[in-house]
Amino acid sequence: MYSVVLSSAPYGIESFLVRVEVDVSSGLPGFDMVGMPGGEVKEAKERVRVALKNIGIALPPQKITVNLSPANLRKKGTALDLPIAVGILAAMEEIEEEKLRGILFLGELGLNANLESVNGVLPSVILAKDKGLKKCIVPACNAKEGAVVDGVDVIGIENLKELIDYLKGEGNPGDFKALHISLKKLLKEESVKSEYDFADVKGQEGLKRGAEIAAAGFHHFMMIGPPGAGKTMIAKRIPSILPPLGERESLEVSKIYSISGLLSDERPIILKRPFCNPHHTITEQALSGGGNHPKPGVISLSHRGVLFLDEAAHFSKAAIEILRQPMEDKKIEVSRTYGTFIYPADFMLVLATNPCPCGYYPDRNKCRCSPAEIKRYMSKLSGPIMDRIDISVTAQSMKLKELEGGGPPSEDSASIRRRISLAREIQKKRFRGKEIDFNAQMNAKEVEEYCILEPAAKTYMQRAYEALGLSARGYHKILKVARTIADLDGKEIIDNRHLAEAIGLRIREDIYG
Amino acid sequence: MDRDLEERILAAAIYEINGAGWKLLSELYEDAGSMKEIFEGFARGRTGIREKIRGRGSSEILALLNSYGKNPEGFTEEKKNLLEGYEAKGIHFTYYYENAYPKRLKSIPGPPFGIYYLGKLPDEDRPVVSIIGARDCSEYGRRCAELFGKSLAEYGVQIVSGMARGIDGTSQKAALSAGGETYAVLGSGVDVCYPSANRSLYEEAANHGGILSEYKPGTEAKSTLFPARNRIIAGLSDLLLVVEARHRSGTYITVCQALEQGREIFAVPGRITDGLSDGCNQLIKDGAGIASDPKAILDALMGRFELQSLSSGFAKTAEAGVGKRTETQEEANLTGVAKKAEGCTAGSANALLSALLRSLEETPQPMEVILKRLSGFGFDLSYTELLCELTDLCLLGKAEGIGNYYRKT
Ligand SMILES: [Zn+2]
Repeated sequence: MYSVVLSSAPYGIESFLVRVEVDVSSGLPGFDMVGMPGGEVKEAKERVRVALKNIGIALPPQKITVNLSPANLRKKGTALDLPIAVGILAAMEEIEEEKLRGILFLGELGLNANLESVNGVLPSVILAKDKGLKKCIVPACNAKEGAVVDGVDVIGIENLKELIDYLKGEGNPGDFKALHISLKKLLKEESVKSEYDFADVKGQEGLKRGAEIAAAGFHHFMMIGPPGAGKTMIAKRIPSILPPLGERESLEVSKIYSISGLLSDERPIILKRPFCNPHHTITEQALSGGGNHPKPGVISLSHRGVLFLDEAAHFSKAAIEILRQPMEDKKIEVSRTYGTFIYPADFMLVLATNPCPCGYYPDRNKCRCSPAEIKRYMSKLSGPIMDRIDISVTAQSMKLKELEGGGPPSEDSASIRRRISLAREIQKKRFRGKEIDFNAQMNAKEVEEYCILEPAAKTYMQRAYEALGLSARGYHKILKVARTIADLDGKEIIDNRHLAEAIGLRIREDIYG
Repeated sequence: MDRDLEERILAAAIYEINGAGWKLLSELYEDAGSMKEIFEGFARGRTGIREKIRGRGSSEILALLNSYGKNPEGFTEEKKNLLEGYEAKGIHFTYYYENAYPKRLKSIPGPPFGIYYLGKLPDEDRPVVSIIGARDCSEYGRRCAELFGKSLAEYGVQIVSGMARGIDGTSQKAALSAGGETYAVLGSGVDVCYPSANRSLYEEAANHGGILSEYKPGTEAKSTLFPARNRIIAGLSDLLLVVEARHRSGTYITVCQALEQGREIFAVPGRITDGLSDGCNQLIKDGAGIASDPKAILDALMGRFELQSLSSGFAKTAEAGVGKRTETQEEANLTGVAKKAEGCTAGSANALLSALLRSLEETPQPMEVILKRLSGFGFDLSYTELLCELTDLCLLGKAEGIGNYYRKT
């Protein structure tokens, strides 16, 4: 007998539909699987055979052939265990094939026939919705992940036996109620709480202001300062001042985490902007994604959030080089022999670095590093990455922080976020119909069009250009940052004050370039 | 051939050989009475020469003397070409027994037997001050090096140093920019510019002063050669001025050598909390002169030399230097700034800028500190407001910023 069950397999961060065809017919007993199964999929037959045996169903002494269609795409992951088992049961006429119509099955089988969690449930449920399927059956622990997708009933099951009963119309139907979760509501609840809040940061006005401007205009941001100056503390709080994730963004990010197997019953969906903080010893592959079992790298896990590189100067040159393409294209292409995967990677880059080997430059009472040592130290960051960073702020050392003491309470993240949201609204209007969304993304022509200076500011900028020996690139960066400062200020025309602050936030090309 | 030239050719020929230093060569010379007699006497079998050399175990020296014996004219001609090759590159050579050899150097223990130089050697009739200090100096050190280099040069004092980055190079550049002369003593051949970042100083010093070395042209810079080089820096001077030095640093070694040579030593005092001033403060404690201003140095030199200002600018330079601005000067500075401040009444802008300039130092200070100080003067600025003010000052060339650290210029 022959049966067809629908399932899916991941490709990049999407899933594609897989038709699992099973044929059970007379011949020498055997179990064959064709249709480009990956390593884990090939092992499915053992898991399926034992799981069925353990719920009292023996495979018939017949020839079983499983075909995974389309046969020209490699299928990875363990989610095909369940559809294969279901297909065999249908082909054995244990369950009616009629009952399987319009359902997408996903799940890994344990030897005791329990369903184990799998990666990529969210993109699969989205796929089901796109294909007009009405129901998805997934492991119970993955059900919440899929339940945020409207219009598809996602049913979580614990055990294959349970499923057979359900499909046969036996057992308690109440146990198989579809779960529905309102993403909108979740996001709304999430937006009021944040684990890390700027209210906890005393002092550090420079870093805070720099972070605010950077977040408002999507400028990449660098913090320079001695160890223990609170750079990490600031970086961790940047997601809290970015506008909250929208529904579309939340699904987009959650899909990446789903494929990577980073969603769980406790965190079935990503509601916060990601914050990734890889150690400087990270491999290039872990950063970019790919590998033999291709999965998204850290830069994609930072999508729509913040990628924070602490001790940036210690990252390998190759690792830093990897960031270049995604910072331009907002995605990363990973080529492997069996295909090219595109993972989204639209992140705000936040770097923290010591200014020199000892960390105290320009405090010459403490720092004995020579200019050559300082240059060499920063040189790893030079070039492609520094070119894309618009704002740099020096962090004060811990000792100075004691100076702060008392004072008024620090502003909380929500208030800062309100200002940033307004500035982003202005940018949204400005760039409507354009290919860019933020000030930081303006090219030279757009800078000229949108960075309108007051007459006095023109003179001021001219003087800065001469007095500071700016490069053309440095000049443009200042204008872009000044544009964002003016947006935060609610001003259409850029004035001296906006320029002066932008100049103060520039990267000293002569020292760190 | 001119006898002096012949002597110099032979001196250069033998000095180039490793192991032929002042000790051996001066012994040979004192015994033989001339360079030529060392060579000829050796060929004749004059007693003493072979024995002295053998004691020092250099087969190369023996080989050289032998090759002279085989063909004296040919040898001299060949070695003349060597010197002429140097001259073609502007490199001069002199040795211990020539008149050109610096007299000051003769008084030190273990002087170099020969000196290669570009440009000139220091004038014997005008004072020489060696200014030395840390390579990784502070802003304060840099300002002091500038002040002393410039002010002393204006009085015709020749400044000697090692052309290193930091104090050395800064004082020498200041001397040149004041129209004075400076001499750089290198730990490499005179044709090797080290550090290469100081190339413009190297070139200018060769034209307004000189570049000196006891090592033959082409010798690469090696840190093991620096202590020996330092004895020459000290040895060329009438007075050694230490601007910034850590305790037990390279600078400190030079000072010890200068003490051995009986040179007068002055040190610029520093703050007791600054590691970079440990050495100087210790020197003062041990009895070095206190270089409280350039005049202190000039006074010390006064007894031995007649000093005349190249320009009459000395008093002014000294004043403008280490934080001794007069009120009138500050007023003058401020009116210029105040004029451009927009949206402020002239009076309040003036007061703010005055407070701002008082809040800055020569060493970079973080903005948090500047904010505190301004607040002490009654100006409560936000961080952003201060940043804007400081940017204004930077554009006017009155301040410089490195990250959020600012200093006055
Ligand atoms: Zn350092």
